[in-house]
Amino acid sequence: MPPPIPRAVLRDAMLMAGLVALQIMLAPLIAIGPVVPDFVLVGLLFVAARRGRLTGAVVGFCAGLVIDLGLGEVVGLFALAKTITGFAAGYLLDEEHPGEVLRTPRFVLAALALGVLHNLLSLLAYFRTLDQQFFSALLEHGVGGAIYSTVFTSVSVLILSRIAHRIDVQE
Amino acid sequence: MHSLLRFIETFKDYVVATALSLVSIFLIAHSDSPQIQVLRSLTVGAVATLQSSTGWVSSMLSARNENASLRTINMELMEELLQLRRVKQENAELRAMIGFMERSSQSLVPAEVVGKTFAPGTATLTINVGEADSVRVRMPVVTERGLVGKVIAVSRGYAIVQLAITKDFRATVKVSRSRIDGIIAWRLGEKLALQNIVKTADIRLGDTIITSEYSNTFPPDIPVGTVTFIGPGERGVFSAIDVQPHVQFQKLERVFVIRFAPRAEQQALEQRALPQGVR
Repeated sequence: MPPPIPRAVLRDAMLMAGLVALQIMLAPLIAIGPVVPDFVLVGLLFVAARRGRLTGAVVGFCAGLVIDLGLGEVVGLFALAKTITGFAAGYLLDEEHPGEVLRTPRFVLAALALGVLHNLLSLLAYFRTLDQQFFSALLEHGVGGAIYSTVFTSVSVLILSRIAHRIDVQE
Repeated sequence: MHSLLRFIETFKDYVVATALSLVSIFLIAHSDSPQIQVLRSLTVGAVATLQSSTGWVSSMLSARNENASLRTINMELMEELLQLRRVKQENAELRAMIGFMERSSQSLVPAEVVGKTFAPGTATLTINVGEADSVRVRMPVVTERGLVGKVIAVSRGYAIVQLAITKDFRATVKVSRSRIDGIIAWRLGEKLALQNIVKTADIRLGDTIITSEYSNTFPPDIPVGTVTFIGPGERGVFSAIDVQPHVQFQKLERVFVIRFAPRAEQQALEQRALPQGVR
């Protein structure tokens, strides 16, 4: 009999599945022009900060692959970007007390930087298929999308700072 | 082999991340392969189902945006339509004026109305021609429809026109059909009265009133208006006759000044011999 799946893993998997669904259903509705928030990225950063870089990379790959298959034009693009971003997030935020990091503005700043990194990675790989100038694409899809996603990260951090005792963190 | 396993164990985070990145790059390189397309076709169905659940929100939002943009377009088109109507009307007026200028035997000075004053019994226009255009006091002012009034003051570039619907305005006129003479004067609003017509005179509703050759201010045969009412006058032998002017004074935008010089000798005699109201 296979060992039971840990509850924490199940919870993270459900969280990411929910965020993927949210990304598909809600993100296009609240897009500001070409700038779309990335809920999956926000969730990935939380998972990576709580579980570490290995989990971050694996969860990033899985979530990115689902997005690629469902929405992407080039399969593997978001998988690559989210794998690297998940790993980098775990690397940057992997501290003795990650639960503390999640409730600080530092996490928001890290989310912004990682968001830019994520979008640049997707953009660079995707750029050959974009029919527009590099810098406008960089601003719209790279920086704009990252800022928009960070807004949601900030909201999440604010919420988390109020329910700190309920966070399950691997330490 | 053992050392390789130890290396992987030590650096498993990096190894896994690198492996996943390599898999992603492999997928990017083979994105169009049939196997991946089959996988995509399965997930696209699920995604479409999810998207359709919120499709109505998207439709509502896009309908609202479309509605707003259609309203804007509608406003622009309305404005354009109004402009076209104005241009069309202006075009018709200008054509009529050009036709009038060509038909007229008089020397005409076209002018634009730059100011209007309407008060009970007093109505004037300011036009953008003056002495520099050889316009003088007492010169008649007309449109292609008929008599407007006469110039009462003039500067180098402007002139003031007293309209026919003014209490001090008088003109010698006649009934076009029966050639009966009378005097036209203001009655009320934009109505004129044909005065000094005896009850037995041959005059009918619809008769056209024109300026008379006896006038020393207006050249003959300028249309003035149409008879709209004939009734018994207050003074026993005369009829009360209303004349509807051909010109719509409130709408005047362009007029002509006729370079009509009064016969000086006749004018001097009339000023000396006739009371002011009759001249």
